[in-house]
Amino acid sequence: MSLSRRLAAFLISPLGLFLGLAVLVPVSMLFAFSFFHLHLLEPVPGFTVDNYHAVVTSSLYRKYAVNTFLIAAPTAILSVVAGYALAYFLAFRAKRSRRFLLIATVIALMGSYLALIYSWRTLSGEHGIFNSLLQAMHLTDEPLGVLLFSRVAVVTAEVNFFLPFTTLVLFSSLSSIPPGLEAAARDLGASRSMTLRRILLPLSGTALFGATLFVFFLSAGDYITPVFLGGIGSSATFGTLIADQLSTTLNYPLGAAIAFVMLALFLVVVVGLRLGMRAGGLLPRHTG
Amino acid sequence: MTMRRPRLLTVIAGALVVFIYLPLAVVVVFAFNSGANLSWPPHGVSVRWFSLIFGEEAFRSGLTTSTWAAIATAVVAGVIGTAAAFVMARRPTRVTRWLESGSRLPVMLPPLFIGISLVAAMKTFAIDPSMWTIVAGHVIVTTPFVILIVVSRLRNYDVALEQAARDLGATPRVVLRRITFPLIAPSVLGAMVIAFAISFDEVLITNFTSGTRVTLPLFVLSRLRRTIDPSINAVATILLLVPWFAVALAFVLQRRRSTRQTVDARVEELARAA
Repeated sequence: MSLSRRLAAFLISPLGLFLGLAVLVPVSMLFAFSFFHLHLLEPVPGFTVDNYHAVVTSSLYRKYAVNTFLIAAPTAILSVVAGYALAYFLAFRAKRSRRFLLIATVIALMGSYLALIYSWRTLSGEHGIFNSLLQAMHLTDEPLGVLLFSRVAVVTAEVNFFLPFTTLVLFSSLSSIPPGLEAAARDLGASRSMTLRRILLPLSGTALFGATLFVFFLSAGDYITPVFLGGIGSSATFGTLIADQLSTTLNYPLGAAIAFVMLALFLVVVVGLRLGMRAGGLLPRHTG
Repeated sequence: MTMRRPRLLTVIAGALVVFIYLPLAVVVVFAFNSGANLSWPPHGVSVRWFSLIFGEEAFRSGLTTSTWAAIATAVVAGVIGTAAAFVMARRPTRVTRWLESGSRLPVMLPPLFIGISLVAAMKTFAIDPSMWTIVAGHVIVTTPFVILIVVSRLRNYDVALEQAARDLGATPRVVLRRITFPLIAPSVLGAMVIAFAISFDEVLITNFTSGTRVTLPLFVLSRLRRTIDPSINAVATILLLVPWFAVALAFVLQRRRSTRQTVDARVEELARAA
């Protein structure tokens, strides 16, 4: 059924209006704020690049950037690698269990973010389940401190949260590859690793690229997991820093500037990952 | 001989599923644990944490706020998204394609960024935090899912059904009511349930848009700042189970045609939406 021009405009206008008012205007306001300065704890309209200057030159913020990367990069890589293994199993190996596992993964996708953080905290605490099990099995005498309030704890919980997502995205990509293709490559004498590198990975390259970036961005912008599972040093991410500026310190201009510096660094990661994956033959060279 | 490697993969896949579900299982198990200690093994079965938590006014009001916010989000995102999906599927132009990718952009951004943008706008225009600012934040992140699901449904069914109805003399209005709507209704309902589920658990944006209003996730967050308290297990279980229950309900409501295939189709649809 074709839509008249007028009806089409009527149906799509709520979305346009909403995106304009709730996304475009607020993001523009945030961008404007990043050029304001603070006077008596109130943002004052004006044009100054002091906020950006402070972020780019301070060694403190460089530490934040490095720590953010050291959390987001392992989170993204582990989520995608583990998700790929599970997705591969679902797409090509699982037979009777496939339906069950697929539903289980979709259900886990709806798992509560806060419930996970809370659970990892109780699992890994000094008197938590992991430590009481380890001690009961006499594997360790004293509670292991590294399980909680460390970068490892933050990355573990975040991978746990993102894994169902990466699995389903990669599954949807892998399941569109004809199963015969893998068998054909093997028949023609390719080893398993060669089949993976030359056939499967390039054919799912776009999904790998998207899933890695998605997890990286969300992990870098997470400001709750690092606070509750990270230690003094490892909770110092761009996410927690920005959230702090806008909810506690109330230095909106500085917080806004940090947010846009973070977005700029995201672009560097996008370009870097694209170049890296192209060099490795995982993404086609010509597409823009 | 060639059996060994697939078996290794089976073990890895099994371990990963256990890894995904272990923390969730722990929360639920300890929510029904009668002891106050959070160490293994649990003591016995009891619902004391649930009765304790339901006795708290702060929890009850959080549950009410979250439920209404999630319902409002599902309705608003469902209406805006479905209307837009019609245009995107049936009358694609440069503008609609532009809007389609534009609507997906907020999902790629960290929710933190959406949250602080809304703070900046609220500060500029002196908008006080309210239920509507909470819902606005949730609609931003849920509408793309509605669009994706409904557009894919509209593109994937046989348009000949509508043409046949027209040829047999049905007016466009009748075609819409008797053919198109019944065909897309399960997808729209499913999309709205997903919007409900996402909204019910949303905390990263809500933290900035709620003001003094406390949703259920914000209630958990404030408890997390204090000590570990076993009653959080009960609240976290509710945070987990309400969205799952909603999704299960949506499946049941569609059971009229629910053969294995439709369930599978829905699962794959969800997977694709993700």
